[in-house]
Amino acid sequence: MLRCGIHEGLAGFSTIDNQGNRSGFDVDFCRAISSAIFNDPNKVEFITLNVKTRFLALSSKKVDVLSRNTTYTFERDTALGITFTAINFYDGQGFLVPKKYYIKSVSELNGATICIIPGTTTELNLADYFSLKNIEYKPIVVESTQQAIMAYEQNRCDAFTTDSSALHVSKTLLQNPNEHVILDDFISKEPLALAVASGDDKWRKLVSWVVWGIIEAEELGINQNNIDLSQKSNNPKIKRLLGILPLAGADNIGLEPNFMAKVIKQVGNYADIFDRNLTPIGLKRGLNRQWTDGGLLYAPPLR
Amino acid sequence: MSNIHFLIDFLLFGFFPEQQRWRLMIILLICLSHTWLTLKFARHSIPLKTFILCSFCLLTSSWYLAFGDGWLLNIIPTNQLSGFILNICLAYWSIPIATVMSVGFCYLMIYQPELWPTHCFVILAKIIRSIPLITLLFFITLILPMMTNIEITRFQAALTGLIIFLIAYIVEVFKGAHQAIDTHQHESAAALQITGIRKFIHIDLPQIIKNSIPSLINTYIGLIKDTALVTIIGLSDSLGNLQLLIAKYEFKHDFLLLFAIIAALFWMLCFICSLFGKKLEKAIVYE
Amino acid sequence: MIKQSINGLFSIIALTTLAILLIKLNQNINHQNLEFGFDFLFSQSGFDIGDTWIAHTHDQTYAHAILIGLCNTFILAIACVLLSTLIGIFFAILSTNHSRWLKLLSSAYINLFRNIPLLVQILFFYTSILYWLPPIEETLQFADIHLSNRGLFFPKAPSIAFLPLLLIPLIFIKATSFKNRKNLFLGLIIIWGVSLFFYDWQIPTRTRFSLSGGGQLSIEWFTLLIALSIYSSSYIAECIRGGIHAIHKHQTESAKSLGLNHLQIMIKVILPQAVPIFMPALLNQYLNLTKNISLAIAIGYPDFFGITAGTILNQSGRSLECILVVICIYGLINTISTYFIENISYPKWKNHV
Repeated sequence: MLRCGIHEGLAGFSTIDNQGNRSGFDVDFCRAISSAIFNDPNKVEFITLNVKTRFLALSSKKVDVLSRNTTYTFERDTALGITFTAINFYDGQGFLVPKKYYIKSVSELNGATICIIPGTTTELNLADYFSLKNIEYKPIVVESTQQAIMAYEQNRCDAFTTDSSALHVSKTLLQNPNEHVILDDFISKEPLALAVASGDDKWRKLVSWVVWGIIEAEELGINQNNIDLSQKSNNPKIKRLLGILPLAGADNIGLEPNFMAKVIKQVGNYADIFDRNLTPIGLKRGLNRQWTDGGLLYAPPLR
Repeated sequence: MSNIHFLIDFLLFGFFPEQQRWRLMIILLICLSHTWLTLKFARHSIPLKTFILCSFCLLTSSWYLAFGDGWLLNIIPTNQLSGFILNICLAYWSIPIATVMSVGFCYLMIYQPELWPTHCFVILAKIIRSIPLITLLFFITLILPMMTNIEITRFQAALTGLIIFLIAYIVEVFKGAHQAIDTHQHESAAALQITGIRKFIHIDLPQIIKNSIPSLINTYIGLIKDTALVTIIGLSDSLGNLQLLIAKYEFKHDFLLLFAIIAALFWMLCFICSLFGKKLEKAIVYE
Repeated sequence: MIKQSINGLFSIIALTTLAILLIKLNQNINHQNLEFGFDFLFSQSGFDIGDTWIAHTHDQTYAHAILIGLCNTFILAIACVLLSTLIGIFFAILSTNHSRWLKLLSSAYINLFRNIPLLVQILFFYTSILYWLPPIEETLQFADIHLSNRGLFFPKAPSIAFLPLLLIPLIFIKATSFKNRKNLFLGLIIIWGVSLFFYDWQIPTRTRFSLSGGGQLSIEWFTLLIALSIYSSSYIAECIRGGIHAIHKHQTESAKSLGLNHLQIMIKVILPQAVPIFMPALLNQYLNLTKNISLAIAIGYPDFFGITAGTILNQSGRSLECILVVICIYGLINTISTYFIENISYPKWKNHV
């Protein structure tokens, strides 16, 4: 069994569907790793972790991999006994504001009251950004996203700031989502990545290459539907990805050469995962397009 | 207002599986019968040994009903026991356990005050009384797992915290009640050569309990109210469920009703508890 | 002999368990590449706190943030103590009234608010205030005072204007007779009141989003003030009622024969004598109130507990140190106040009849 640490509940990333199964963007990456190792996407034990327990659970090996929209930062990578693997989502801290103010950019928020959730990097980014731009603001601390939405909707604060992906989720929960807008500019970089405990090189490589393989599969145009057809493709890149041409070293990290074929068949490529989980909540691909389309997804070649 | 049925249902039982609700009903019955049994015992209708045995059976069976074993009853994960029933269960499980444990500590404090374990206990109880309950709950959820490497669920943390907190206060109540015992009692006990643990059980304890009932009941009521704090460490008790509901816009305008329901539920529970206290006070008469 | 062996056994077991726990703890802390210590308190905090009496910005230290939190807690505690005592005395006097309805009203109030968890009350008042008060665009306005669901905005005089108020204790200490004291007090208040007109008041003015300038009390603060005062006042009323009942009936009768009315008897005869009786219980209630302020974390008001065990704990990752700081400071507050509660000799108030 793969023990995978996930978010307690964040629409699109980690939720429970109508049949009572776990679903979501982060959940699917756990399933992909399970497919690659066990040839079965369901050999995962999901362990929900909150902001406080996530790193400790990983460093003390209570979970094997942390797939809980966690921002990749220097301090976390070096000081907490954990190691980040490949980035699977490019996020940024954004702002949700009512349309009635006609605000176009963050710098117009001078004097605004802003709702934040404490104990996250968003709180620090906000302080940094606003002091740099010399803009005044008044932070209002709310314990949870639900409370933040309530306070924002009752006009307790003029803007609500958190990761842009979570903002999109929050916006759908508002009474009149059309009267609110998420500003285009980000005030921080929030690359979300899977993390593993430090010290196990093979395991780190395995997790990284599964993520990169999923991204590479989209670039090569292989998805859950056409995987069987692609087996007959002449493209050597595709042949290598699917393990038809030899992929040296796969067994060094404990994988069969055709591990990506299983992952794509059972879970899908990046576009499949994104469309299944994040498109329904109104998230656009944005930065998370392939590099060939002007985005940031750029996987090292599998060869 | 077709919603109201759903709202009350959600506040009471939360996420507990629909088909298994009968188990909760039996737990409620067990709570009531336990109070009834206590009154019976106070009126000397049943002997001590039977009472202890029955109490033990009732407590374990309520625990078993709540969580199941996967064999006869389905296993219910601790996070599905939610809503007002969680408040009731937390109170019901912590009160008897804490009271019994405090009797033990009380013996230590009265008869073995120079023992080192007693000193340790007294200091710890003092510290716990001086901090707010949520500090204790935070300590148990955050620090204890770091110290022992044992995974503690929020439910376990809440229950442990409430029990420890309650012990610290009950011991103080017992101590006060012991000081109120007439000195003649000690003298006559000495004349009859009843000493040590026998004196504690037969002479001190009955009077301690009798003297302390009003403040004991107040402490219990305080605990029942404190079970609402578990929502701060993320358990979905009735208050947590209420916050989930008012965050949804369908129920945003019903918040007055929702709060009224919760307030009424807690008020009723506290009222029952104080009624129980009054009955108990009348029931305990020593000739 | 038995005692010594129990002591020995206990110390061996306790010390080994403690050692094991500490070793585990140390391992776990090292796992995060952290070291146990309180040095981090003096590094930059990196976050701003919105609702404070003294500003905290991100370039100040964690220790500063903790002090700010303590300051918030104490100011709120003082305000709640004053308000809850007033309400408590009011309902205690009501309950001694001869009218059956007033007695009923008082006992209904006490029983209702005593038996509902404080957290439920706090969240109820918070939700209602957010919901019922108008948004910032359409504030309830009285002169330059604005009330909205963001809080109360009011004109503010510079703090130097309040300096004369420091003379009040001096009057109480120095003045010789009651009449003298009363006159001096009234004189000071009138002169001070007139002087206020000559200061430069900061008046709240509308900005794009909100009101700025002047003083501001947030709704979180108000919610806590109201909820804590109401909750504590029900306990305080009960304490005071107990004290009043302990005073002998003869006192009331003799006061009555002197021609005093019910209220006068209460305030001038009974209450002063009841003070030493209910004072210890009352002070204990104040202590409980101060501890209960920690529930502010539920609505995001930055009190001492919320800042230390909430924000700082999450930002620095130093859970053990933060919880220890909280326990130590609450322990300190508790020790000091219990010392006072137990050792004060409560003066009998003089009767000014």
